[in-house]
Amino acid sequence: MNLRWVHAMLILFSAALAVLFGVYCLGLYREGYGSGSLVAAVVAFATSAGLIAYDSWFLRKTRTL
Amino acid sequence: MDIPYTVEVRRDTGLNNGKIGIWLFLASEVMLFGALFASYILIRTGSPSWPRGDTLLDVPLATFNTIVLITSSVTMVMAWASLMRRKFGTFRIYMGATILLGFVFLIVKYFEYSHHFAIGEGPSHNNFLAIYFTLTGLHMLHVFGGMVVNAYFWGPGAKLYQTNPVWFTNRVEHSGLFWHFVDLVWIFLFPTLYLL
Repeated sequence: MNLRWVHAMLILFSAALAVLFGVYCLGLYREGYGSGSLVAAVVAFATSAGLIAYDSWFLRKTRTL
Repeated sequence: MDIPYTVEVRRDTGLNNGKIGIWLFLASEVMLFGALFASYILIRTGSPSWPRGDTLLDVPLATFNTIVLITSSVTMVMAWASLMRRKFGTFRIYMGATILLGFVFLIVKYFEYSHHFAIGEGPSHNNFLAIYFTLTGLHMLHVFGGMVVNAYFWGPGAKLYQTNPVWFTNRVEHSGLFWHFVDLVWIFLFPTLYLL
């Protein structure tokens, strides 16, 4: 396995972590931590989507490596 | 005597010797961190009460550090991709950025640690902080080690590119594999210690 695939896998794990962090922030919001935690959850979910988009771009861009 | 199979692939392993070496090393690292994670699980499940990570640790700082490390994995792979495309100047920019991001990670960790020590929360304070300092301390040593190797390739080690660019590119890839392993460990450490 070369660095290209290891990187793609790491980004997938990062996207999963962003989802987990979003769920954690939603939990804080439910506990009454204020709208800041809701915003953080939305940003985390958006980051996760962004990371998946980056992963697909990266794999296409480095196909010849 | 020259080291064999630095560039060409061995027929029996399907890899060059450097790559086999780094994967074997990473396998031993998985066992090291795996043992510590297992210890953490055993201590936590065997304990009658366990503090929530976010009550003792600084989650926003750790989130910032997570972003820093993930960004550094992007710059690391771009450094390797630049070498594959024979763009040495771009390689140096990306590799420099990777080293810098590693440095930022260590500085943030320094502030986190010094805050804990200032309020008397050292490793002997409780089991949670003992395992926190052990795991994150060992991880920090790995970040530092990766930075030293990357700095060598950015500086004096880059001379090899002039004589044998393929071998140099392979070396940077192996260093990149180690750096990604270090990032992956953090991706598991962050939720385990800070969020759960």
